[in-house]
Amino acid sequence: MNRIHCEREKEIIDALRFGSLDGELRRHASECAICFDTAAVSEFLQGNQPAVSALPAADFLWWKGQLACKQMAVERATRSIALVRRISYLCVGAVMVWLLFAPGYVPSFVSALSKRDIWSTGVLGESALLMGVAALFFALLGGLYLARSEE
Amino acid sequence: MSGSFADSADGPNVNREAFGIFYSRTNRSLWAYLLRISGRRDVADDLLQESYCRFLAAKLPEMDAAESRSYLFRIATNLLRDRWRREELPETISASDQRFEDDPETRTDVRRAFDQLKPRERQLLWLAHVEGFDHREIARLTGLRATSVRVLLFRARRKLASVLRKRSQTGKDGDS
Repeated sequence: MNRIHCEREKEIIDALRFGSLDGELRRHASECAICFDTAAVSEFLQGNQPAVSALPAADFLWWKGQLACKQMAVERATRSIALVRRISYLCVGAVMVWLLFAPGYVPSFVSALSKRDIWSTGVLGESALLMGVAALFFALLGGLYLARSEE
Repeated sequence: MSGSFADSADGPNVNREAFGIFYSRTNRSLWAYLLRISGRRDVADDLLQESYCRFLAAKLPEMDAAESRSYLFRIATNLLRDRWRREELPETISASDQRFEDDPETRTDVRRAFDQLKPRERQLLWLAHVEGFDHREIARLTGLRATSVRVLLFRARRKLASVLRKRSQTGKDGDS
């Protein structure tokens, strides 16, 4: 089986990063194909470091970092509001779809309402149950989300 | 550097002085990494700033200097990957992209060979051979498994080493 790793690889890399290979490592690199390639590639890459241009000052980045922190704090604070808003849009969408695809349900509900026998037909009771379940589900989701964000 | 020097609850995790020291120790190597992997000076400048901002904004646990450096390189590696995913960076560094990199040194054929490697190969080679990260650290930085890093690094190294060998043979033939 072909070897793909040598235990002394890291030693070779570190030696070249902080200076050069000593006699023993040089001898090992000449005998081990993996370390020979490692030394060649390390020397090449370390010899090809780019000339560093003017980098921004630490104070400037510190200031930018503080702005980023404040922005993140605002985002965290408004995340629950955004979540509730999104859920509201979803609920409105779901109701619209329901009204669109169940047109027979609405007239029967309206007629039952006009006859004042909605409880006996069970229409309102069914709707109230559905709404209650949906409210509990979203409250559970919201609670889990808030608990997770607190962590 | 430790995460215990917090200035305020909503402020960065480290104090200004500690950040200054950390920045002066890491900025050049991070910039070189970003430049060599992206091949573009403007991208390297941009991602350098973004990396430090994200580092400052992150809620970090207690860390020593080596862990902080590793975490910074992880942020930079993720930012580079995002750029590739959004296809803002080419897979290989072409001659037209090289205009952004106005290094004083001449671009040799071998340098071009490095630029033609896949981004992942360039990343692994740079992190291992220039930054000195071990396989486990590279796996953490790149999201790969340590065993995969070992194999991919071996292949990338062999590819670049064969170009270097060919070049040195051509050089010797040219000399004789």
